[in-house]
Amino acid sequence: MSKQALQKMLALLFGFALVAAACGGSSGETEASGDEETSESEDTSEDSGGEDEEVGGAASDEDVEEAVQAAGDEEAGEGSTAGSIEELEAIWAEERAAIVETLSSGDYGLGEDGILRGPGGFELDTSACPADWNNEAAADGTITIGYTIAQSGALAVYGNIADGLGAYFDYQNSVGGVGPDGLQIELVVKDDEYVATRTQELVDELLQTEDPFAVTTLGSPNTFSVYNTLNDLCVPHPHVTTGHQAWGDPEGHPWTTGQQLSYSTEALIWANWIDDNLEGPVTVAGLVMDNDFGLAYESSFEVFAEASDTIEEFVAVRHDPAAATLTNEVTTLAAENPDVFISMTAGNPCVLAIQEADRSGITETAQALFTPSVCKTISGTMEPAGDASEGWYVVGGGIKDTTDPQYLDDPYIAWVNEQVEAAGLDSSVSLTGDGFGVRGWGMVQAMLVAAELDGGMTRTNFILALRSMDMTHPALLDGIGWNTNGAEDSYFIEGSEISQFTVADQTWVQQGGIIDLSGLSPNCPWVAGEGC
Amino acid sequence: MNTTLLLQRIFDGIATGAIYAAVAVALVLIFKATTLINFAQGEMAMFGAFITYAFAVQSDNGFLNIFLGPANENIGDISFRRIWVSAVLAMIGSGIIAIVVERMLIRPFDPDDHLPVVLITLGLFLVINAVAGEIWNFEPRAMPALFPDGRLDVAGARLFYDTIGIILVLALMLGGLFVILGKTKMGLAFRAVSSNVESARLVGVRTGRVLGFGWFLASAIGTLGAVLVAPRLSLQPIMMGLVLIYALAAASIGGLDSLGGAALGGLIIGLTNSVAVQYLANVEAFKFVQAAPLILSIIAMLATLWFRPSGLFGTKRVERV
Repeated sequence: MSKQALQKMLALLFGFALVAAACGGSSGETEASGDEETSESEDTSEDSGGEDEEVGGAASDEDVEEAVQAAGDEEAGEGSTAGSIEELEAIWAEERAAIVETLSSGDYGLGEDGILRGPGGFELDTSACPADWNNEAAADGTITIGYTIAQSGALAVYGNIADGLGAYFDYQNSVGGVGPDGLQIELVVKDDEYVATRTQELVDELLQTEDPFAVTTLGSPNTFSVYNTLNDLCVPHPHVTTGHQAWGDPEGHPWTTGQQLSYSTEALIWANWIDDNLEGPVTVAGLVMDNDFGLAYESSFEVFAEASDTIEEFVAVRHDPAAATLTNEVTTLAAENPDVFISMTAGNPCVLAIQEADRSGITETAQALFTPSVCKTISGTMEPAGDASEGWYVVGGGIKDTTDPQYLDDPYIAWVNEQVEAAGLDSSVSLTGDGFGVRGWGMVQAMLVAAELDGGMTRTNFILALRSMDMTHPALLDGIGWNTNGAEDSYFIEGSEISQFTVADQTWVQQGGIIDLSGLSPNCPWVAGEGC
Repeated sequence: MNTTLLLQRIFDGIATGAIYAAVAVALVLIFKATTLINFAQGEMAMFGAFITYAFAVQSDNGFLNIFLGPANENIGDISFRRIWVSAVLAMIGSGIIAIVVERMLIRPFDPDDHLPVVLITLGLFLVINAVAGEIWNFEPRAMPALFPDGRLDVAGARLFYDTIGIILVLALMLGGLFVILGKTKMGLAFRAVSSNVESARLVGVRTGRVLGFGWFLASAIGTLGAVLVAPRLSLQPIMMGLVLIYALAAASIGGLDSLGGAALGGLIIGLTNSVAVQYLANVEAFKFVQAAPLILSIIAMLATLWFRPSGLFGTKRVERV
């Protein structure tokens, strides 16, 4: 091959790379921004929002302000749930029984008219489902869950969640499976490299080859790319691994539920913390991942910043999700001499943001530095960032990191780490623990409730359970609820702690009490191009 | 104009450009030896950096410690001697792995038919990445630095010691390569093979050994580059994959058979991203380039290839008619 020919090939390759980058990245960009620079990519995603949208899916500013102030006046709690794992199991069984009783005693469930009714005015019309739709997709004794997640690329670190989730399913299978029939759970994991178009392909593949009972996804752009498809096909899309506010839409997208604290609520908590703790005028710098995920933070924070008396200026710089370095972007932000620096990114850039903030001098001059909840992981972000991670704040969504030394004696966390090791996985990886202890537990509890309902483990019963949960999640800090209430409350976690990182102890130190916003976040009726 | 910011952007460009240059040089070495692009070059370098990590951080073997110096659990307290010796061992180790790869996976194929070989290097990219992820997980890790912490303040801009160090090592590396390739018998053989494999073989050059030598050298140099940049990028399997596309652009700009050109190409790409992209982003109509810095790099590469198809310093192809 001649050099010229090779160079032409390279140029072509780059051209393809460019198109791929534009498509992959912009599926996120467009959905949330809707502005000129990104509008071309709308067709890569079936649903999109708008950058100018109102803050949806978040509690009102007044509620957040009140809760943040109340938490600031409190002392940090123990953060630990007492009791052995056996005692916890007994508590969970009681809580599940109470939910089953509620759902069994009223007019809830799938009616003969094809409408699924649940508490809180929840209604889902299954007559709109495809003709070949199968409500009893677990009738063969196996509950197949498809999961698209990044196992390579810039967000490959999140692939550990799938390992942990699979290990919890294996554990559940080993202790008798799900429900009286002992249904076995099978997890089919597909690597989408955090590319939305790839997620679409993989979900199509899963639907055609595995006939999954449910499909779940990681990432906001990725989840948007199959949001309508899965809802149109009436396939449960439970506990998606993303905190975009759009997942709180029980009327428009009843088959999809989120679990973690919504990004819009998190952004409002940042803003209220700034209002409460800093004197104006304050310049806030935001380093934003340029896709749905980052723009959800940016647009939510921007709305508050415009109305704030304390925040004089909010400067946001967006970065390529696949950026090798963030040096240039952080230098731009450092030139603004920000009083507060907020990293609104995920994956590999979590570490880079902290390190570059340090190198640029922002760490020396800023009064507060925030890393987002998705970067809270100690082993995946804070530890590799080294000394630069000292003093960073997080609105952590109330989740206990299974590698945080302060929780290692917590009965549940100790049990999680033990089980993770027993599964042949590495318990020193925070996100493996997260997949097992946070997401695995949550998904299985909903299955256990569904299997006890009239009709057993059907897709509609699973959705009914997901829309009716109210349990004590053992991986959450005391005081943070894990509950939904049909069409009235579609967000599981609506509270958080604010913590600050200490390098010497490699631990998050909680600042004040719990910010409890349970039941206060309004739904987010998501409309493509408009937002909530 | 804020001159401090401009200066800082230039320093940033040099710092990131040096990262791209380190990988681009290794790509060019392989190209010179085989006239093909080794798409697995970055991953081989990443694997070499993990070998360095294994020696410097994860091992505490009494025998090894005689050479490496004492082990330390705290990464910040690991001695420079231990890190540098580990890097040298890893360069040798990754070089040997590269020889095996070349012998087992590359040499059996017809050197004139590049497609299978390119596909093999693409496959290697995926395999090496997966193997590294399996061994070390995909979580980022703090990599001990090869240079001391600290910086120079130049007119308010920050120039870090590690940036200076990377540039110096890069210059030494290029100097060493020029000596090896220009002044040694093996270098002469390398250039002969690079020029024409068949002719080299006819005059008695053992082309297999020379090709193995080229792969060894490229892998060792790639490993050094990865070890240099790992503290900045965080050591993880994806580390070099994110850099590879910029390094390819750098090598194309400089000329695919020019070591110095590749290094310069890296700096051009680095400076394009740090200076041109950031200032262009101030113009509302071009704000999008900030989140897609690759666009300007591609334009720079296409412009170069349009006017100079062989790159800035590449050898012009001349055919007898």
